[in-house]
Amino acid sequence: MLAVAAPSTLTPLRVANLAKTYGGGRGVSDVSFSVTRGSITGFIGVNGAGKSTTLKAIVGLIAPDSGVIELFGRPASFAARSRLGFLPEERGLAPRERARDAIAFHAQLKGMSREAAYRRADALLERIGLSGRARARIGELSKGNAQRVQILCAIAHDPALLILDEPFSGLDPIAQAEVQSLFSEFRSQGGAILFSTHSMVVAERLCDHVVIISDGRTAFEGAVAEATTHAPYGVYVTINDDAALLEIVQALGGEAQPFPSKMSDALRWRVLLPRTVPVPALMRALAERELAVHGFEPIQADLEGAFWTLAGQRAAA
Amino acid sequence: MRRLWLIARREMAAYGSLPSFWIALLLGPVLMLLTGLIGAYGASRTEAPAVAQTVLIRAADPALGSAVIAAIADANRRAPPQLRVLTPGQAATPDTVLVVSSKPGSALEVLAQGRPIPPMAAAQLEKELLTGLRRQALREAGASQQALDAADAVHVQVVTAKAPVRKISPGAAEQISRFAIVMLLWMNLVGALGMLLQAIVRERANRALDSLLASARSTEIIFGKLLGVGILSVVVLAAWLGAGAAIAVSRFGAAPPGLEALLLGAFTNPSTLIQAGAVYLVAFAMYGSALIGLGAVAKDLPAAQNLSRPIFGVLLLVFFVALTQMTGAVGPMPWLIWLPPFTPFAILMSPPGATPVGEVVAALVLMLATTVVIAGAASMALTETPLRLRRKRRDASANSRLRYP
Repeated sequence: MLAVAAPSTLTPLRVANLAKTYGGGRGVSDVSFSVTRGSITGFIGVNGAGKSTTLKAIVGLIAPDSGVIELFGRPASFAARSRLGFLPEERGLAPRERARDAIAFHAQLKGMSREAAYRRADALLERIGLSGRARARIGELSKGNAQRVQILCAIAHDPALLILDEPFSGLDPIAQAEVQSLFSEFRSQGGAILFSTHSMVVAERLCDHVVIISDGRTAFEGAVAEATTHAPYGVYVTINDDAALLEIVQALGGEAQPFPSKMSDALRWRVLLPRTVPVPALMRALAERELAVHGFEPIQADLEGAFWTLAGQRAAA
Repeated sequence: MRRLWLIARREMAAYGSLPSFWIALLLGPVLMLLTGLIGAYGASRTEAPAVAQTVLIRAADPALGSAVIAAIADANRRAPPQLRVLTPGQAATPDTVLVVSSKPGSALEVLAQGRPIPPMAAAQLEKELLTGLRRQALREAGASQQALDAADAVHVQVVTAKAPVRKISPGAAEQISRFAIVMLLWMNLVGALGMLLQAIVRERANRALDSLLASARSTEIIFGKLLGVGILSVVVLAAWLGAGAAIAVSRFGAAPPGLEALLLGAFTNPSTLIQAGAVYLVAFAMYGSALIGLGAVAKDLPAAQNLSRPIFGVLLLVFFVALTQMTGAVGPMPWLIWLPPFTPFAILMSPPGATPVGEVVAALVLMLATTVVIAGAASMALTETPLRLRRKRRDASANSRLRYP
C-alpha cells in the first residue's frame, strides 16, 4: 500500500553544524546528525531545545544562519525537497476542505498528476479505514481523524524521507497504533523517517536511532540501545531514615536525590550508584544497618533515563 | 506555474464554498437594483395622487374663483379629498397656487404653481369645472340654442407650471459617474483584501502555511493566493459592474435625471468598465502583496489587523482624496498618479484625455515595479528570511554548500 519513490542508497538526510538564532536568542547553535535509509529516527528534546527550528530548516521554512543540510547526498534545494514529506507541529488544514481533496492537493503540489493523486488519496484513506469519510470536510472530522488525514497529506506523494513534528500528539492509542503501523510499513520499504516527540515510550518502541538535542546542540546521536546505556544506574529507595541512607550511599560512592512524592513518613530517594557497585551491595548495606525499607526498585535502563542524563550533561556543559 | 494554479484553485474552492461569498456576490446587483428602483420611484412619485394637497385660488374674476372652489368641492365629494382649498386669510402656506384666468374664446385656464397637482386630481378638476360652468351657462341663457352654443364654447385647461429643473453640468455629471466607479472598486478592493489577509493569517496561525511552504515556493504561494482571491473578487466585481450596466440600460435606468441616474450612467460606457477592471487588477496585486507580507509577519489575526491598519488607512485616505476630487473642494492633483497607492484611483478619477496615455502607462509600470518589490519582501517574510542572508550567501558562496531557494 505504501510506496517509497525510488529509494536512494544515498543518505536521505545529513545535518552538520546547523545554527539559527532568532531575535530573542532562541534557536540552535550546533546541531549535527544524519538519518539513514530504511530507518526511523526520533528527535528528542525538551520544549525550546530547538527541535522545531531544526525541522523547519530542513524542510526550507526558515533559512539557517550557517551549517550544512544535505538531502539525498546533495545540498538541500527545492527540487530535493520534492522527495520529502512534512507534517508541521500544529495541524492546519482548511476546515471546509474535503479529506480526499486535501490529500490529493498535497500530492499534486509535489508533482503527482490529478488522477494519480486522487487514486492515491482514496487508497490511503482506505488503508487507515477512513474511506467512508473521504468526502467529509476536515471541520466535520474528529481531531484524531483530522490529524490522520494530515499525516496522509505528508505521505501522499510517496516521499523517500518523512519529517514529522510531533506526529502522535492528540492521537488516541488506537490511532497511534495505526500511525505507527503506517510508519513501520514505510520503513520496511526503504523510507526514512525523522520525527520529533516528547514521548520516550513511543520513541523507544518505534525508533532505530535517536537524536537528543539540548540547549540548541546535539547531545546524543546513535542507536536506541546505545542511548539506553547512558541511563542512570541505581535504584529507587523508599525509607524512613534519610540520614542513614545518605551515609550508606556516600560510602558506596554514589549520590541520592529526594523525590517529591512522599508515602506516609517514608521518603522516596533516587539513588545513583557507580556502575562498578552492584545493586545488591546497597541492599546488603541497608540490611546490615537493619533499616526499615518500604520500597526498593532498580532504575530501568530506558530512553527516558538516558535522556535526562544526556540532556543534563549537555546543559551542564 | 502548476503549483501556483493549484493554490489559486484551492483558495477559490475555500471561499467559493462560503455562503458569505455568495452574499457579497449578490449584494452589488441588489444595490444596483435598489438604486434603479429608487430612481423609478422618484420619477413616478410626481404622478402619485397626493392626499389633501392644499391649494390657494387666485382669480381676477371672483366668480371664476368661486367656480373653481365649487368644482374642487364636487371632485372631493366623488373621490377621497385630493385638494383642500385654503382661504386667503389662513396662515398655512399652500402647496400649490391655482391661478384662474379666462382666455380669448371663452377658454378658462387654471395654472398650478408650486407643487404639481396629481394628474388624476387635475383631470377631475377639469371635468367638474367644465360641467359646472356649462351648467351655469345653460342656466344663464335659458337653455336656448344660444345657451347650448355658449356652453359648448366653454373650455377648461388645468396646467401645471413646470418646476425649474436644477441642471448638472456635463463635467460634474462625469465626475460623479467616475466617483461611482471608483467607490465600487474601492468597496470590492477592501473586501477582497480582507479575504486575502484572513487567508494568509489563518494559515500562518494554524501552521497550514508550513505544509504549503514545504511543497511550494513562497512566490508561488503569494501569487497563487493573489490569483485565487483575485479571480473571486473579479467575479464579484463583474457581477456588480454587469448588474450596474444591465440596470442602467433597463427602464429603471431610464428614469429622469437624478443622482441615481447619474450613478448608473457610469455603467453604460464599456471602455470605462474595461479600464476600471484592468486598473482594479493592478491595484489588487499591489495592495494584496503588501497584505500577504504583513499577514506572514503577524502571528495571529489581532496582530495582523494591527499591522494592516496603515494599509487600510491609506485606502481610507484614497477615499477622501477621491471625494475631494469629485466635489472640487480641492483643485486637481495630477501628481497623485505618481504615488503608487493612489495611482489606480487617480487614473480612474482623471477625466478622459486629461492625463496623457504615456503618463498613465508609466504610472502603471511604476506601480507594477512597486508590486514586485512588495511581493519580494512578502516572500522573504513568509520564509522568515533575514535581509542579511543574501549578502552572507554571496560571501560564503565559495565554501558553503547551503542553497536556499
